[in-house]
Amino acid sequence: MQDVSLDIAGGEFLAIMGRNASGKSTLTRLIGGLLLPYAGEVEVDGINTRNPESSRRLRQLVGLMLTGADRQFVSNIVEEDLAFGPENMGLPANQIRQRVDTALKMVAMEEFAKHPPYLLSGGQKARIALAGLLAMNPRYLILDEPFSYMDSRSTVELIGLLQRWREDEQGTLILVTHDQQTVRQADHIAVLQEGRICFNGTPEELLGQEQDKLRQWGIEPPEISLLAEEIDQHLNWPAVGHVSDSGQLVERLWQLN
Amino acid sequence: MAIELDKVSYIYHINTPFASTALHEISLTIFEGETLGITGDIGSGKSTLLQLTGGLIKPSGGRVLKDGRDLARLSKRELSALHRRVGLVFQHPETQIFAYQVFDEIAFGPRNAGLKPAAVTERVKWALRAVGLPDGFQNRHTAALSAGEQRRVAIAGVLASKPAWILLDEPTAGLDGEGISQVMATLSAFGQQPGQTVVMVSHDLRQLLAISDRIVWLKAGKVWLDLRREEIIDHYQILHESAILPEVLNVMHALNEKGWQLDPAALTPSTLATAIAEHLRGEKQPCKD
Repeated sequence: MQDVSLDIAGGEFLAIMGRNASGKSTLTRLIGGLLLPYAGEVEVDGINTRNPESSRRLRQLVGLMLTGADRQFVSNIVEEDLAFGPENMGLPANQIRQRVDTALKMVAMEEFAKHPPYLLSGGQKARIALAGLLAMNPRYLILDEPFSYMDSRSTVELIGLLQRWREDEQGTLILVTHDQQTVRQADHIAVLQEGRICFNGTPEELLGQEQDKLRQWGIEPPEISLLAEEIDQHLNWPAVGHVSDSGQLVERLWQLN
Repeated sequence: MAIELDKVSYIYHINTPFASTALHEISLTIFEGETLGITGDIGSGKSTLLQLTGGLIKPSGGRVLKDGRDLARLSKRELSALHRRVGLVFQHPETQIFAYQVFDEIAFGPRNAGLKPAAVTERVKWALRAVGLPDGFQNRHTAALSAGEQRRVAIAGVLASKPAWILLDEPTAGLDGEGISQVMATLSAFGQQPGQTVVMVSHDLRQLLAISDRIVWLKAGKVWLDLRREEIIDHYQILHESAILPEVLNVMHALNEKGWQLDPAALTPSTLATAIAEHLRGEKQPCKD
């Protein structure tokens, strides 16, 4: 990380993109207080992550799901795993029970409460890992590539769950992902390159960038722009030009026909 | 060599309260030389199917046959001969990296196969090229690589043994756009070699469309659809109802509805763009003799 300045508003959905090794995971750990900056400051709700006295408060504010969360279960039974966080917060048994049940419901995994987590599929494990965070009632959720094994439908479902969580709890969502469908729903996207923020703007602004620039940032241009670009290259003139969805492209091609 | 699954079932934790059926009486033949894509929702049995195909786990019911012979009846020697021909790339293969230096990691297979040092070096360089990593990368330390680099080193380690069959479970998960393109280009080039069989599991249909001769869709432990590449677009409606589809399929379907007759195998942005441009220029599709 070098000279990164970033403001994340409460209730916002921020997506973080960038190549492998561009600093995305480092950024999430800095926000969650797992890493301390060599220079500069990180503040979450006014709490400086350097302050050891408020680290307990910080842990409760920020739910951090690291890559490979599906390999970090602490119990052999799903509901016990989910109870781990609330238990450590010193909550009474009935509240722990309630939090575990609510969290399981939020990720639509109620029927797996008594299952050993390691018997679940990769995508199911990711949901359980997320439920483990939700059981802590965090104000901020930071997820580092939670979708890498999910099919498109499950990803959409999980994003739906997270969006509902934001609305119900006025929570802030920070998501590291390469998934294009997902980032379209974000309020803001920050793109990192070699430890610096090279883009900070809305999804529309990002996907409207030149394709070469997107590739340089490790972002595959949308399928539809690739298609449009290649057709124009074949025809040797900008026949199709800029289109943002398949309907527009088909319409334009039909006119050209 | 063909591998045939004959009414194969697989039940995890059989005879316990947690028993769950991953596959139910699946019949499927995988032919030598083909690139087969396997897709399906979470928990549909994709990874289980791959492990059965590679002979890593034994079916709870039914048989897995290699050239008509039941794997369960093969001798130890025959089974290990089979395993030498089959390279498996598991989910998150980088977690299995054990060597300090990239060279030693990739050289492990070729050395075990008894190759001479010069041949081992050649093989390592070839495998690095195949996954799009530059010459000189063999001197790097495995711990100091990015996630994408580690993934490619792990895949290179499997390719280095030049297995006739390569089975991959979500090989691009977690990689950035460039990493995905490189891994897919590797697999595409690899799959086109004569006699090379590639079986790839992915939740991402776009990636499977980039390389597959044939795609199998699993649903709740059963084969839901088994389509050759050129048959896929004819099943657009049924696919559309069950998943979010890649844009190439949406575009091709919409144009076909308008009476265009595009090459049904042109299912990548680049091949579809060629087909569309040809149509617009009024060129006939090249005739196949």
